[in-house]
Amino acid sequence: MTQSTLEVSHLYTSFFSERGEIKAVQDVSMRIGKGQVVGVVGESGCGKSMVARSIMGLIKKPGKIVSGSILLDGQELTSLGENELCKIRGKDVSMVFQEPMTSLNPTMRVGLQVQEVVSIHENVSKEEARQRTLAILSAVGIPEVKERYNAYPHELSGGLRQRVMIAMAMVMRPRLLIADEPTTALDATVEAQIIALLRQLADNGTSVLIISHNLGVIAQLADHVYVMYAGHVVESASVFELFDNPLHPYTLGLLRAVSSLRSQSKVLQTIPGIVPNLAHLPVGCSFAPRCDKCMARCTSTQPELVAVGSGHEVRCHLTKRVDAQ
Amino acid sequence: MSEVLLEARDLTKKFPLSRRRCVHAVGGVTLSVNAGETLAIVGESGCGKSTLGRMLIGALPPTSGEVRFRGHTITGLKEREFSAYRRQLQLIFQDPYASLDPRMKVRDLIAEPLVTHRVCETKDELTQRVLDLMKAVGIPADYLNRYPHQFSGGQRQRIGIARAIALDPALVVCDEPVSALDVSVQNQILNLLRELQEERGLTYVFISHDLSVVRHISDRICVMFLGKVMEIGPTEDVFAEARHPYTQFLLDSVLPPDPHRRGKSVRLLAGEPPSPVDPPSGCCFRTRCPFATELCASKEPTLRRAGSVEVACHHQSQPPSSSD
Repeated sequence: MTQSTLEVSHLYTSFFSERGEIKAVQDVSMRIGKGQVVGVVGESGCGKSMVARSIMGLIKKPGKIVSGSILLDGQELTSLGENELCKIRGKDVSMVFQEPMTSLNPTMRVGLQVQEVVSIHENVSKEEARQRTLAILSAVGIPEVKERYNAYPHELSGGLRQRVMIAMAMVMRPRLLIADEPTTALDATVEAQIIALLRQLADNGTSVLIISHNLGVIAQLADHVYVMYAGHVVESASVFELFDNPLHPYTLGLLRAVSSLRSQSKVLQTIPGIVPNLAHLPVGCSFAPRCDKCMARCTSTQPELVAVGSGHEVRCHLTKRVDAQ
Repeated sequence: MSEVLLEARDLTKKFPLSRRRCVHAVGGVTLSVNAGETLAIVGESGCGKSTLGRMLIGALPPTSGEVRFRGHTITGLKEREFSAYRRQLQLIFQDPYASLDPRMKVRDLIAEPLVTHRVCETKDELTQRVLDLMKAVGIPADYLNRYPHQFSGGQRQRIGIARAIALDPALVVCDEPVSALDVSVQNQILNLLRELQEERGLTYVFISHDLSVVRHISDRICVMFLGKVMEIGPTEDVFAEARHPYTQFLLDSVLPPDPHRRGKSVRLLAGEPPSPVDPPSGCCFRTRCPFATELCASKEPTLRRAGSVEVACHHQSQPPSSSD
């Protein structure tokens, strides 16, 4: 087994509101090897962004990591204070957000925003920081870097802004890059460019956690995939195993929904019903109310995540039964 | 040949920025929409597809050109003359969170168009119409008195659809109706739109950037770039053999949800999109086009027929062979 850059074990993250505890992340475990691209896929509200925010130490009150551990190259992150986290964020772990326009400072030249990351984390001369900034900006595919260095965010296209965000995340050569829906706000032709860039970063040894609702992005980029539903990992497998042999009814439903769009069929496959409210999760399996294979046990007992093959895990009573035979 | 329901002739829209400069949002679009069909308008953000959609239903006055509905000009009409057409031409919005008044109950939201156009004589009749519409779009009748925040995104979009079809329109412009929704819910809404089209004989102009959705739902497809039509024709023909270089790039950039087809078909478009404030001379796509020649810089290509489709490219007679 290769050494893992990130190891998340039994993570629980909740938000405490007047209406009670909202369990955003429940019993999530995942590992990312060096240079590996791990994808997290799921619909809105499934907790995928909250996993990323927990790793980055960005869960703010009234939210809290309730239990579990997050190890970055063996170092526990959940017990670190804000000051120590600041030293790690941007240097060892960095994050690219969905909307580059709201994540960049509109009043600051983009070159300086990237350079700032270098000056915060390392005691280097201004000139060296500038050189490193120019190098990373051109490495992420920004043309005419010297001019673009002095541009303000509004002067750049969406694709270039997202490249600046990736440059900012990559300038310290972090061990782990978390990309939360990095292409959702971008056009298709630009999306393909950004996916190619992320693939190239991983090939050069950076571990990447890619979060997306888009199965196309996941299929093209990830080596291993975690499928999340209502705060839980419901299935995890290598990307080929997941697309070739999906076992959880939710994964099956998602893949059928996407592939029926590409078929000739007039009526599209859907998953009936809606995503449950995290404050009022059903007893038993969270997917049971929408599942076409729901049994009596599903509405009473929460299924465990069980291994069904090498690196393939499923959280479903049905799988357990098949496995036991 | 089916009847032409709506025609746009040389539609242009310029938004002024200052006295001298303006955004050329739509630059001379001519197209027709046949009764009962779904015409998709695709293109990337800023290509003018939403502006065009709004001009088609008379929600936005064009800078020049005209729109004809069943042969009658609807451009430049006075408010009172136009109101008869407004019932026939409706719009479904992209964002189901922003397009519903949060202070109105579902019954009032759906009743609003019926009340505005004084369709119902009595209150009971109005309530019955609202209930019929809720049934048609799949919202349970006991949700009559709920507010928008009590609904999920997909259910809100159903309310938006109920409002759009309340007046029995002939044509509905759907502006990215499913792009804010999750995959599993997106298909529910697409199925609903198709059912409603069959039941009510609706004509759709379906604006989207998602090519797999467009391929499923549309009969014809119109590809736009920087406010101009690059290619227009039957959806299956365009997907089978895209003739315009931009259409080819657009189709290639769709990421297939299949890890076995990784990185195979993806050809990347070089460069940055040109500015609609200062569009390139000649063909507006030439600054990104690998096949551009001097002719493309000096002369703007017009839409020319090539088989079942129309293409605006100087080099369409010898379609550039793709590398694979």
